[in-house]
Amino acid sequence: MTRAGWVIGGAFVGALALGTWNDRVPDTPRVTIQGYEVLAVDFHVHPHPLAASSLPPWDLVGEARRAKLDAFAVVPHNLVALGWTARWFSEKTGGPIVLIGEEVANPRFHMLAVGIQRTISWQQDSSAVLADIHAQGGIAIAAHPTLGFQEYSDDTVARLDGSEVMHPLVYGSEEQAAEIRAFNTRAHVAVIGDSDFHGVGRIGQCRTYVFVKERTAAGILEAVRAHRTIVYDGAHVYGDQALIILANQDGRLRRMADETTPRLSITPSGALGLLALAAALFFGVPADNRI
Amino acid sequence: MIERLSADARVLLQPATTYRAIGKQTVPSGGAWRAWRRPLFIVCFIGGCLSIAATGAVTLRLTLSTAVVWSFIPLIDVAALAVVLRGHERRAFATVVDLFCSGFGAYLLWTLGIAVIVSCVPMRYGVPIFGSYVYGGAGLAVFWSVYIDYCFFRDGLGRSPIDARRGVLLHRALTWAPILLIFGAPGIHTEILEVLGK
Repeated sequence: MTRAGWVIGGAFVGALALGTWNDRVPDTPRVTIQGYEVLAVDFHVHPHPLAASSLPPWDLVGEARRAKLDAFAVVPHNLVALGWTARWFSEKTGGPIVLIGEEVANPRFHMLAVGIQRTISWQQDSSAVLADIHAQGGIAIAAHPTLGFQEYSDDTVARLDGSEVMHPLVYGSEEQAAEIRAFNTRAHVAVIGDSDFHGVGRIGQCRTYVFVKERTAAGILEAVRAHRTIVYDGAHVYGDQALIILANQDGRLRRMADETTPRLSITPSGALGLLALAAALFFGVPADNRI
Repeated sequence: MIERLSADARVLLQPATTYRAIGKQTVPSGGAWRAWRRPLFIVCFIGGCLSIAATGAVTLRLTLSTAVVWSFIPLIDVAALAVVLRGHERRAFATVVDLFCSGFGAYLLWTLGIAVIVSCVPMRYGVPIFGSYVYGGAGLAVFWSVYIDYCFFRDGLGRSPIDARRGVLLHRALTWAPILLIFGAPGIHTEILEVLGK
């Protein structure tokens, strides 16, 4: 090993030690307002493999705990899978509630099917997809319904349970933010905030505060059907007006939401790690190919 | 300046010249370690980048876990290489694997870029460029890595141009299908339809 190799390796180990030392699981606060328990939920999380994501189910559970989520839905594209693994792992480790689901990804619309057991075909129109979701006792959420993903008839829109009004795309495009919010106004359904987490960024960056009667998966589905949700976006709050007033009077949800304000995630460990990885690639093994 | 760079970086920047130079070196086989060192580097690199992309930090928990679950990429690549060569190579397989895996630079650089954009760029700037970087950068990495692999067969192993092209095609056919299937099979077709305008 060359001297450069030792320095680079040492830097990476240092980054690893620093990152691991600070890798703590915080307490997730329990909030009860007017008899409702309020759960922080991310309904749009993709696992690896089979769903264009980088983190396996057990790491999704770990990240959700660190993000102070009370529940999240595992929704691979066009497949119900891996959610069971995440749920099993979460139950064994005292993690958040895991909802089983699928993102039905049709080229003309994406619909989250949460609380289902069997895969729903994407090769049908939105009305048939929605009927299948409800037949399995699940809830249907319009995922990132920008103009390109809005092929819903008026009848289908009326039967949706929720639609995303907060999604990471909101941070990059005011136009698309306006589109998904206009869709929700048209639909009169529960407001949903989701991170559409593919293993990069922050799980729960966008989240939904769900006012449940019971802290279970079934309780979450019931609350969404009843539109008992609110979503924060900076100074703005979306959702049921009565619940917003209650939340404002209480104040805790606002403080919790402020913790998810967009910020750079890089830490000293990450910065050192990036430098070490770049250096390893460019100066790692010497060009004469010695070991 | 380029002489001071690693073999991987030199393969990335000057694939033909570098493979020709390294391919001519007479090195001891190095045994199992020579076969494993670059695949291990690749999975550790991916693990580190994905840990940073998910949390902004390098943690043992995520680095190890993602390194393990993404190890299918070098494993499939090396298995496919064994099929493509089918014993028609005089050098030790460990040496050939080491040589081949020094050509992953384009993909590793692309992965590093993802970690940088996600963790170091404010979301209002990062979100609009992320999709372009992922798809555009992947396209560039794939394009350049095809050339790198061609240089591996042509200059590293000394195959004829037609044999080198055949080697690249067969290797790609054997690796891409399983890798894409594992990565995101159920959603890939709809993603393609969306890109093609439905």
